[in-house]
Amino acid sequence: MSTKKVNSTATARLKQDYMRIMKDPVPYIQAAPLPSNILEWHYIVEGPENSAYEGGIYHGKLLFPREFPFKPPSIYMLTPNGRFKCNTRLCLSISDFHPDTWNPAWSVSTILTGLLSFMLEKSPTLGSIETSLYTKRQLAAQSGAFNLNNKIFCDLFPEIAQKIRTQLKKQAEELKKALESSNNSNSSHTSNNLNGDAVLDHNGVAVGPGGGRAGGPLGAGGAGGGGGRWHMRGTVTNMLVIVGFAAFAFVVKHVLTNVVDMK
Amino acid sequence: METNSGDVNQTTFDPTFQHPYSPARLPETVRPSKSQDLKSRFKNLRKTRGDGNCFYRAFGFAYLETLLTNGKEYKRFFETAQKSKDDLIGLGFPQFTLEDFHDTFMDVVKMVEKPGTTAALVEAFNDGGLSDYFVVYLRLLVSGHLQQNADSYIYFIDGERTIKEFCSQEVEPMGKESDHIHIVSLTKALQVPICVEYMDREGDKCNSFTFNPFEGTADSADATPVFTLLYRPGHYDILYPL
Repeated sequence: MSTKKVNSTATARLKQDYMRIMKDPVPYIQAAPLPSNILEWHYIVEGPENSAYEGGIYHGKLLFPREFPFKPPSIYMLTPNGRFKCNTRLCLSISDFHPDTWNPAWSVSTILTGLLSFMLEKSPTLGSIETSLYTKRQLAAQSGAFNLNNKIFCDLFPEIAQKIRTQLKKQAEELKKALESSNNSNSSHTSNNLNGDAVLDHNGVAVGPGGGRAGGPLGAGGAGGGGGRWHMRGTVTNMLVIVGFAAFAFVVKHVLTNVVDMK
Repeated sequence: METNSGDVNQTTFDPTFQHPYSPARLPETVRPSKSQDLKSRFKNLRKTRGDGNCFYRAFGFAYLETLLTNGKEYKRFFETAQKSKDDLIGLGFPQFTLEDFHDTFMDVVKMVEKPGTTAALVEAFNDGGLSDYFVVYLRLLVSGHLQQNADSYIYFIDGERTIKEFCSQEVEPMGKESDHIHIVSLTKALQVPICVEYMDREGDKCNSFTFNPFEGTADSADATPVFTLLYRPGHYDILYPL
């Protein structure tokens, strides 16, 4: 009994943790050790519904010390998420920044549940960043495709990887279909249709310079709300305003001259 | 926890009872008289490792060692220890890790009946896996006792903290040193009266203090300390009476 525990405490405990997390899965969370090194675990946190991270799949890793469970692991996030820096040791009460508050009775499930709840909060810590809700949503939407570039992610979580591929394929097909159906309208819409929100933001600010990009005739793209038409209209409006202002200035000058003359 | 050796080491008996600290911290005039006082009452001292877990380790080792020759008390303790697991799970500690610590804790406890020997206990307490697991479980017992009796202890903790916060900051993490409140809780949780000799600055002799878990109950009178620990500021060791 005594020899069994020596130097293999961390290994034995982490094996148990793995069996446990497979048997009693935790909501939104998956985790697995590397086959080559039980001290390095990779995890996935799925963004919960109605949160800024909804739809996001966030990949990260836990590095356990040899003294586990008497010392805490370090925690890293690898997928851009808008809440934590990537590839940076995170400072949490459950991470190795705080061995003074680490409880050896905490398991991998406890750690990852703690990470998720801290992610959903807004409180800052070392390794956290502040971003807008919009950025978080955008990163959530891009997270799946990002993770597919990571070999470890695809190896350890093949089902999730497959799910992402299927989803991306579906999205691409829908996009293609949408493009074909609107093919009779202006072809310069393509890039804009990819992300509706971005177009609105862009047009709101940059009406003037857009004029140079609009190549089509003034009446083109009558059906959809095409970017080219909007840019063109902006230029025309600008010109009208300038002409109007010049006319107004001319009138004012004329009136003033007359008033002076009358005196 | 850098090494697994020397947690409770049989080779570091120190019958001189010399205070380990420099005269600057403890006046020279005090030390000989206090050492003399201990020499007149105790035959030996067993050192434990100074890693912040010394109280728990000293308590665990000294207590199990007394159980080697006290079958009746062993039986009572075994049952208390056995059922403590469910109480702790009831308090919300993660079940499977708690079971893990409890199993190892009971493995060490069972070494008393085999029949057990002091040498086997020394070996177990110097085995990082067993010894630290044992300490963790004692810490959880203290935490559990404090949380179950939060009303009685809330006025004895420093700062604006709840008992639960105190436990997660000062009891559960490894290496957190023990204070009076920790000793009171552990002796009450396990119903084990102990004595602590305080070798500090005051007085010519060591001040001895008995932690009596039966205080205020009918059993209070026959609470004889089961073993004695020596406290020198920041550290606990085990004393063996003459």
